[in-house]
Amino acid sequence: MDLLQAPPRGLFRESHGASATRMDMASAAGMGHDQMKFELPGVQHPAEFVSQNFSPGTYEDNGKRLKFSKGTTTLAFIFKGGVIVSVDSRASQGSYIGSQTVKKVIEINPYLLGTMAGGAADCLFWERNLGMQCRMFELRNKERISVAAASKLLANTMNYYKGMGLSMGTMITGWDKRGPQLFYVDNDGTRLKADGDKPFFCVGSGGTYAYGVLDSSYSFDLSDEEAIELGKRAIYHATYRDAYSGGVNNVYLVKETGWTHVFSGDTYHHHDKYSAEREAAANP
Amino acid sequence: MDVVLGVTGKGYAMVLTDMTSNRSIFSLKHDEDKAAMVDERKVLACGGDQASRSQFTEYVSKNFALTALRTGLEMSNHAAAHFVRNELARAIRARGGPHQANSILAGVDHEGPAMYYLDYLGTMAKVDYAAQGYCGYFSLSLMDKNWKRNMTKEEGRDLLLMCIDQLRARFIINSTRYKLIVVDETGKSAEEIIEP
Amino acid sequence: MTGKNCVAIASDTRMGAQALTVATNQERVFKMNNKTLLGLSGLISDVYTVKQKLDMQVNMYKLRENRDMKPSVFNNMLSSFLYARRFGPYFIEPIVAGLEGPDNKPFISGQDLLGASVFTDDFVVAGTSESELFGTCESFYKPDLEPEELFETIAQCMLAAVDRDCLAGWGGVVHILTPDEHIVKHLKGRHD
Repeated sequence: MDLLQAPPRGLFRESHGASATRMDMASAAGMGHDQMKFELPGVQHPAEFVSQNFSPGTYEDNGKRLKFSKGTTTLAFIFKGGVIVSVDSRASQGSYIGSQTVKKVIEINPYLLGTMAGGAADCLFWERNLGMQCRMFELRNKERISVAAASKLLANTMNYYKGMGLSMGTMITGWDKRGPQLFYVDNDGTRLKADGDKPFFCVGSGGTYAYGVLDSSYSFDLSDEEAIELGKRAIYHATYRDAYSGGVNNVYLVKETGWTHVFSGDTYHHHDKYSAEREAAANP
Repeated sequence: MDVVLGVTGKGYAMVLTDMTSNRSIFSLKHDEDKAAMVDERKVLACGGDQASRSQFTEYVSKNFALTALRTGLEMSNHAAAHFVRNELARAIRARGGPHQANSILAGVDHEGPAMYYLDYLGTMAKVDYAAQGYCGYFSLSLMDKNWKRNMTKEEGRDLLLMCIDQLRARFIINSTRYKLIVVDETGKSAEEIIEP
Repeated sequence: MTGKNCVAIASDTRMGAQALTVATNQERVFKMNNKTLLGLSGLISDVYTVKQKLDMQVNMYKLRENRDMKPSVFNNMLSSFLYARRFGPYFIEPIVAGLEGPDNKPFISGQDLLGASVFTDDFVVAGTSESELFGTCESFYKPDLEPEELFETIAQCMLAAVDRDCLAGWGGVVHILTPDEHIVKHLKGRHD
């Protein structure tokens, strides 16, 4: 990211007046950190200015002065054995592949996982921030925060910055008193609980392809091995069709005892395996 | 927003389209044919606006008929696809503007079944299975996973039904009726209205 | 890319509509005659159209003159062909590679969509991975390689470059032209 391309420094000023008041509200809303302040650009409508200039577009930052990492496939589903989280690892900036080895599962604490889609910096920062808030909750209340509450903290933050151009589509998952839990939270402030007969989400540009595999092969009664395989398979098909997804597939399994990182493998080998299987399955 | 899908299998090719014709926020029609037989053993399934679609499909089918009359031969799939592509490519730089028709040409000839993906720009790809437009985002992963060489007609039909289920589950635009057309070496061997 | 009495063109095989990969068997390198290869990147529709129109020109030339078009002549013909569409261009960037004259001197050139040629004696690149290809070719290229070494070099340049480009890859193909052979080799690449 080339900061020299950003508007001249003079455009930014110390946050005071109206903007400082906003940050006080943030502290009150549970941000829990007195030192944290965001400087806002000294223009008439900061929110509009920021969302026009500093928000990631879908694939290309046409005419924008900054480039952001994005383009993703992430999925998570609840099943008999817990929660599976499976993600790709590509970070793209326009059509350039910035990295093929991004960790898109953010380990918030030993019982909570967050996934990353949209702006990399936004996800990384706010999920780290969420980790801090969760820890503060634990210290104050002498018990672990529920996944529902944790996801709500993030959704509140998202709602607070709504319209400012943040970009993130994330899944917060973990195991609490109520069992395996999965929530979807995005930058609009949307927060959805995964339940019913299809307790899963796919997020990112390759999500539609992953849904195809997941919808047709999902069952609550999958064994751990089958569930891990389904997670891999859905990501493979998404990376094959979606130009903006790829790299390494990371799979996590969340159990009552916390999460474990159960698989990490290059999708290159998945292609070899699955295309060989398909040739073998051909009718004579 | 049209649904246009196609699959090839052992000795056949089949296409599936939705049957809805929309304008503005209305659904005007639920029994529109979006796939037409353009030759004895070739079907052209088309998405795009109705005017371009019907003009284009008719133009293609009449030209196939003319070629057959002139030469006494049925066009091969390869030749037919190139004819269609050529017309699309001509149109994008012509006065009348492009044919707004994204299509799948499927047919069976002496070399067996074949399927071509053709978009309005004249992009052409020979494929084993295809999807045009938004429906591709939802159904191609299913086809990648479940398609195999030499599928029977039942297996092919099941795969397309699976794709419809997926579209109904995840695509915000839902159609109520779909038409399936199967072509084999004898010509159109089956036509079915599917109302899931 | 040029070698010792040989030239090569490599390309990927993806055909896609923006993010969606439609097919992975797209050919965009063509043998125009025994001494000329043509690589076309850009809008797939125009790749076909331009290739077909050039085929006709090349064949007409052969019929009229009873000899093959030299690569440099082909390049000039292509240039005027593209400039003839100055106000409604074909959206392609061509690369010409061939062997020139009786001593089979390597010839390569690249053009923009309006037909402006650049001539080099090492390599030319075009397409969505252009900037990545410049990097890999600058690093790996060596002059006067034999055909086998040239294949290895150009193949590695291509594979390394498309691995940094979302819109390219899904396999590759290398065409090598020597005075008496046209070799086509398919590359296995990443499918993501």
